[in-house]
Amino acid sequence: MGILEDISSFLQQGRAPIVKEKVQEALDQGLSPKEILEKGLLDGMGIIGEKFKKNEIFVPEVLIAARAMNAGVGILKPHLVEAGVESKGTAVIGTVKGDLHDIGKNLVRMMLEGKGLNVVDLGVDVSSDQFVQAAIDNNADIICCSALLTTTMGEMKDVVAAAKEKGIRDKVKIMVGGAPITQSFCDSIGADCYTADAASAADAALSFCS
Amino acid sequence: MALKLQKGMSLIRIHIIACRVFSRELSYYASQSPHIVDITWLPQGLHDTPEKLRQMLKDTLNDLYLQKEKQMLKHWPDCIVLGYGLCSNGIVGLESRDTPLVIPKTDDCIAIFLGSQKRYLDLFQKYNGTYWLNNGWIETAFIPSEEMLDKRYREYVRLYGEENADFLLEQDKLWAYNYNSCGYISSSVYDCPDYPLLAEQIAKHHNWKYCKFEGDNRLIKAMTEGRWNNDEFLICPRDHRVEATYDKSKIHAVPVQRE
Repeated sequence: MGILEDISSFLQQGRAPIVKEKVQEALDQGLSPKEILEKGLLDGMGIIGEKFKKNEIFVPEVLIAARAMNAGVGILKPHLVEAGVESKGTAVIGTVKGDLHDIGKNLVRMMLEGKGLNVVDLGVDVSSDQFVQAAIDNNADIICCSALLTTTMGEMKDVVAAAKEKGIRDKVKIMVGGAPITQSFCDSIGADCYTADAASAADAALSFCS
Repeated sequence: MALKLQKGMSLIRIHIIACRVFSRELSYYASQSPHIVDITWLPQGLHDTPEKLRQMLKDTLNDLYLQKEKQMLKHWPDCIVLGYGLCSNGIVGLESRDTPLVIPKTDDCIAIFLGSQKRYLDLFQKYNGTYWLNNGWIETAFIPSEEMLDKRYREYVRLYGEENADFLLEQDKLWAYNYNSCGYISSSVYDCPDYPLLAEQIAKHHNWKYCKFEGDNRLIKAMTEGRWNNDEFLICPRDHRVEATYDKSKIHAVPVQRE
């Protein structure tokens, strides 16, 4: 097995320390940072995403794989910057105002990062103005809103309205998700995309950036 | 069918399909109801997976109608009440057939235990970050404990190795950091002195503030007594579907065209 396959495979097993070592080894061998990222780390996370979508693996496996990816990216980052490799797009993400439940949001963040996107995590209890301001400040392609409660899901409508008001609605895609969210809700508030799981969200987000 | 009594009074038959979190309160008021109440219990926690909740409710309704079809029931209810709030929209999409469906218009069971959607929303605004507990949650839900975390840690070590196990356990604890208080809702139906103490311990463990709120069973009582006002309950007539409105009224009933 080549070193890139090793990186992908160890990442899928969630073995962060070995992924770190192997990324360094690949750099030492003269492989390009872009190749290590795409054919090693992102390849591994892509397989994890597919397996998660098919319910072949569960949240802990995704968490340890994402951790291993971050360990590898940590080594790679300065080299990526130096080589001028840019991320595939930028997403701002958070749970909506009043909602403090971030397990799903964190999972989506990891999946987006696993697709090579730059993710600005605004955390929990994010107001519509904060979402839109962060999208402007980071020149984001996507705003991702998460809600776990029927009490708070209505806030997503305000995010769409705020994006219109600030004149960025045609520049950003607005994605919505969380247990009570449905396609019909997404349509009713004029958001762009709803997906039922984190891995599909990452696929959709990537398609918006290319 | 309703049971005719002397002086023109009649008892109606109410079948309630309810989350087990209501078991003490609903059982009590069912026993005291002037009507005839039957209850089918479903497991607590289905709000986490609204698709599963919707499917279990559909299956339970199907099962009732199947019993009717096979003439296994001596009596058929005059109405079917759901002992659920919106519960992550798990009740959206359900259809009534020849019997009306009645559903409380609340976000979830916490509003029902507090007595009204209005009181719940007021407290939600005032004390955002509250982790709610009551006797039903303590008895039926998954309550994190040290013992449970130890067991889970050992399982993580076995499956993913020690280095990952530390990380995963830390991830499991993250949810608690976003809450700032534990709200214990008391009940006039059942009062176990250990439960508020347990809630207080949980609050202390997570470094949350502890607050106690008096429960109000008026909605639960109304469910069993057939007193359903249109502001607080959706009365879904026969051959209608429950749809979300995505506004303050939460849900409404739309006619179903059957062939």
